[in-house]
Amino acid sequence: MKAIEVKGIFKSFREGFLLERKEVLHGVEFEVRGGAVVGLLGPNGAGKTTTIKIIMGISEPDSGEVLVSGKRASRSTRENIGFLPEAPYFYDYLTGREILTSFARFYRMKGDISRRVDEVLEIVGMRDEADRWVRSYSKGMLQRIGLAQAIIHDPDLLVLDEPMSGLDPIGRREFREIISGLKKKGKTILFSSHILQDVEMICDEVVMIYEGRVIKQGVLEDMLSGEISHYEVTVEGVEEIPGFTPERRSGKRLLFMVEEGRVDSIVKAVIEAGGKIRAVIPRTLTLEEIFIREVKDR
Amino acid sequence: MKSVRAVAYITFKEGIRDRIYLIFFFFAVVLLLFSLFLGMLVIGDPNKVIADFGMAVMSLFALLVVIFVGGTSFSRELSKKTVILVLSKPISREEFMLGKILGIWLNVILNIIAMAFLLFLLLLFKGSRMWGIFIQAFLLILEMGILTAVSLMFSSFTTQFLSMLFTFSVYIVSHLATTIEKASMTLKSGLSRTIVKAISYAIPNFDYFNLKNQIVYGLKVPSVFYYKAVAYFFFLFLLFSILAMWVFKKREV
Repeated sequence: MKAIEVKGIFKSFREGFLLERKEVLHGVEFEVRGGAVVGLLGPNGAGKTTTIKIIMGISEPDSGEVLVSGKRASRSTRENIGFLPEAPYFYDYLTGREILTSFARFYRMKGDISRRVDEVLEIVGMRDEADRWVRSYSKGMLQRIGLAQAIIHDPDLLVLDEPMSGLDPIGRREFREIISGLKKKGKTILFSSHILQDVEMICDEVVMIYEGRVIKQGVLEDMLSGEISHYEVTVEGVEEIPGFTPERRSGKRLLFMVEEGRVDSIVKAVIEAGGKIRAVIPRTLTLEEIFIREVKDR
Repeated sequence: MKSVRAVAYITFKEGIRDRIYLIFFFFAVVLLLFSLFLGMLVIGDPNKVIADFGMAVMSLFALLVVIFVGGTSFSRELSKKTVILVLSKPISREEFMLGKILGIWLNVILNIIAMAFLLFLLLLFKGSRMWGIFIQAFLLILEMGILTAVSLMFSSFTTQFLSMLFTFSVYIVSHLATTIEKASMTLKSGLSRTIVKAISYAIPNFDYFNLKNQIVYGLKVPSVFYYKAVAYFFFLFLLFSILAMWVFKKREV
């Protein structure tokens, strides 16, 4: 089942003194299947946040449409989506608990709201800080309360906009663990980021977006294992090999990085020079390399 | 309505804890207490001076709360992007805007009621039981309700500073409506008289909510005055609230 279908959305804004139209999305199209964790990748200004706002029904596209669980994105589809905006900010003079309780009232939640508030505070590790005014929170705490308000109504779909930007390494790891826990519970998560390392660790699928266009999408595992970028060749017993420059020297060993077409030549050259091949390891492309290559191709 | 209530609750709570609201309230109390001293200085009935000055203080601080709390609350929602967080919930923009208007208005109502009670107690302390203070407080609440909707309407499309400036201008002009209408009578030319008269009808007339003199001097007020005031309030409150919702619906956040 498809949790989100983004069908050819175009979006423009009026800018400057003369209110000229600037197109920011040029027919963005992708799908998020139910139960998957999908990373929406792209540099700053690529159109990730605008796309997310349209999915959430906060902004209207000029053309195209977004379906959430088969229905047009609207007020009613928001009932079952949890949303964390980029760098979330809350009301200064409200406590974390008051914010969660107030936000819970937007949903037709049945049962004890205060118990659910305690539960989500526990999940995001903010129980001890819940009764402090939000203005005294650190960025990490704001992010945690942001996630808590996104899951307060136990939605099936989570849309997280740059959830880890600005967090320290420990905070990022904890956040990843929380997201992994939600994934295990079968939640569908669309997750935008420009930190490719995080995406590589969490996501099942990725959608790359650049200058308002989807440039590549697919299953992450297929992308990462599909292409060999180069081979690492470790040799011993030679000082140098004509035509090849070593990447690193470590004692008697030399490490060469060579393209697929030159592996035979280097092996032959090492044997002719009286050296020994210790290892030939194929290296696949990282997500970062795939992304940069895709962007360069445009 | 649940969503409107939730937004109003957040706005109200945020408003009463805001330092600027508390500072205004503190100065309002100080000035009301000062009216006791002022009463001792003048010749004539000191209670009339206390009531007159006290009601002016009520109006002034209610206006300041609308302009500053109303002017900053919505722009803060936009600049800090809390509006995006709220609009991601199952709530329409119209409900959000109505909740904001009601929340800020509640802040003003609390301020006015507290000041009215204090003024009533001060007058009681001086031996006068002036219940009319509460009637003027009620009318002031209606007037500030309209002004809150005006403030939010401006905030939904302009900057914080301009919104405050425009709201203040509307307040001033609205208190001059009767004067402008009277001025039109003195004009000789038929066309200019019609134009000035039309202007006086086009701008809100806040004299519908002013009974200060009648209360201070104990004059009788026909009940039709109150009906007119309430009807006028509903008309303008709905008009400006609908305009605020419409403008907000059109803008990108």
